[in-house]
Amino acid sequence: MSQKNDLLFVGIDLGTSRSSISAGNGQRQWIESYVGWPKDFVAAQVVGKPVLFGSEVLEYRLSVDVCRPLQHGIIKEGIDRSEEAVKEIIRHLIELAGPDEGREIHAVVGVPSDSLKINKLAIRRAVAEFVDSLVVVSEPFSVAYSLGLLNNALVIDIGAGTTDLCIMHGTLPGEDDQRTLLQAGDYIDDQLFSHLQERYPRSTFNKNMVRQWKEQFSFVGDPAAEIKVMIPVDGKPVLHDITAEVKRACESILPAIVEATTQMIARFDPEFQAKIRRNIVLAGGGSLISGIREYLQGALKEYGPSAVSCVSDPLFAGSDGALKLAQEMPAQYWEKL
Amino acid sequence: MIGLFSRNRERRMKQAIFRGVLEENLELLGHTRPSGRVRGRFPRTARVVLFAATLGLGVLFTGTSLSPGLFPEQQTQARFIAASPPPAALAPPPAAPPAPGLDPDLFKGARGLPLSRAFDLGVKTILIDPGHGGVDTGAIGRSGTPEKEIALDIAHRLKRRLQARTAAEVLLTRDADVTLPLVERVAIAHANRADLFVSIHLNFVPNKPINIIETFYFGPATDASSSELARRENSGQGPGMSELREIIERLETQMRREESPRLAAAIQNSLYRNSRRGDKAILDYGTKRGPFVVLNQAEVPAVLAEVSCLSNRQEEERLGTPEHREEIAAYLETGILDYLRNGETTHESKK
Repeated sequence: MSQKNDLLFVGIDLGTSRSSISAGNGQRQWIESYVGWPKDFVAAQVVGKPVLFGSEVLEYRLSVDVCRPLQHGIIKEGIDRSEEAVKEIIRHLIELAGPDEGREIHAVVGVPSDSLKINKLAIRRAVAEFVDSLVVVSEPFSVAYSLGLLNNALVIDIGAGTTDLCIMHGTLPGEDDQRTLLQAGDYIDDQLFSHLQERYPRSTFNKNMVRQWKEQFSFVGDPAAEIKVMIPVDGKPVLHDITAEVKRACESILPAIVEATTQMIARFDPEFQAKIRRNIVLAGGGSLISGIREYLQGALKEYGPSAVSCVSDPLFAGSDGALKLAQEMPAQYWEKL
Repeated sequence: MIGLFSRNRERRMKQAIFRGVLEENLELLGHTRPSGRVRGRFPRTARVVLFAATLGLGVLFTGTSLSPGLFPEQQTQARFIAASPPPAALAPPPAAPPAPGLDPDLFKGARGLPLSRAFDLGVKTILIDPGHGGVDTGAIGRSGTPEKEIALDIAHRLKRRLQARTAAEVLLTRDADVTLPLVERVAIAHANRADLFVSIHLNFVPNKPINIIETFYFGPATDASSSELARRENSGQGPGMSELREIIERLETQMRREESPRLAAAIQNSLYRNSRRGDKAILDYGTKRGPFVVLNQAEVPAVLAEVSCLSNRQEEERLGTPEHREEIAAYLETGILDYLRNGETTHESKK
């Protein structure tokens, strides 16, 4: 144990939209997964920093080259600056955790399932520089670990770029136990943008505004109230009813999720299928969509009794799980890594 | 007593998980797995059979998609399908489609789950075929750049990239400037049990100063220019057009019929959308069928990508830079990875 006290364990959730860190020293921080570099000398003077993160990137988006490295769940190695951006995000998160100088850092990093499959080496390269020992796991697994859902459970992590499904059955989930869909938060944004353009062709709005409306008003099923927002028309702010469009866009991801859920359960050992159906957990930003838990539970009802719940803290569920894994993993395993 | 039993069971599960995490990460570091690990409770083969039965083989073979599309009509339909009870386990597959000749509908309905994913087929070997070589220079640009050299260079770069990002073995049909008949290229694919075959070529449009990208999979040509291109890329080797017609009519391989258009679409998407960032005037000629010998005889998903256009003077100049050739290799890689992921396009190819 004395050896463990000299270490700082950190859990990092490297998400498509938001990344978070939970550290053994009690720090919990998050940033939006955007990185921006000033476009030129003038831009560098304007922004005053060599590299920007999160909301600052959006604020100065006209002056910086914006990179969202894990958009759609994978790092685009060699095509743009994705790998470099991942490195910057990790460095920044670790700085936010405030480690004591000279203290060794052991990190568990959760990444989207597809990224774990495709970008294994790139992730290691990006993270290894800042930590002394490193473990990479899939995001839904780290969420499951944080909740203690080690057996007969299904985690549906609805992120921005991807929805990751992961069945837990008492061992580390393999590729067969995980599935990734592109129907996720960004997909809803695209749908909402296009529905609104269709209905209000003269109104002017951008993807960022659409994303904010989604985060504020998203729902499936029956609306609690009409959703009305101000959108400029020929420069003049006009109140628009976007209730039907928000509903349609949010519900557009559901068929794929229901289909994948039923397929994943169906391919599992029949003896355990009922148990998994009663132990489904929604995580990620998508779990905050109003009514989604009830919808999925209803959709699965005809297959047998089902219970769907949502994680209480979607922003930190992944990094908390990664930290828990880091702290509980035997010291001799860390030595090998 | 029950609490103790439960705690012991949880401790055992955690031990198994820690071991799994360690093995997976050691593997990343280049170490082999210390021991074989059983994933899941159900035998893999049984799971594949059950999964196939659940999906309904008919769905796959007719190409009907269960995935929601971008349009509300499709979403509504998909919701109904998902909400209905799964088909009876181990239901007999529907009768195979009528054999001879190519049913054009088979090419249209390629929106469902790729067979490679549906049946959990691994892609272990990817064969890259740099077009032409040796005495066969292929097209020659106005400044004298031979197609064979550019194709070979891009192929080398693509190989390096795929090796870094996939577990598949990546091979080249030729790794130097040698003459290699088309039948030998196919023989290499067979001998190495290639799972994917990607042939790299460059287009040449003599009378128009345009830059185009197009990707072919095997089938009867749908237009005269594709026939002409096939004739040129076949370089007079292999059977004549009349024999090709017979071969086309004998084509029965389900895998190729469904998978090659998917692979072609993923590569074309990535090539065009990414290339357009550097050349706004580039034209998307899409995916097409063409009677190419190398595609016909490869019994796996096989495409021929015309990745650029040598007759365009500016493009020829750009092809002279390693950066541009590396870009093209990266776009090809993205297309292949998109296909391998699940037939969905990633952000990169949507850009």
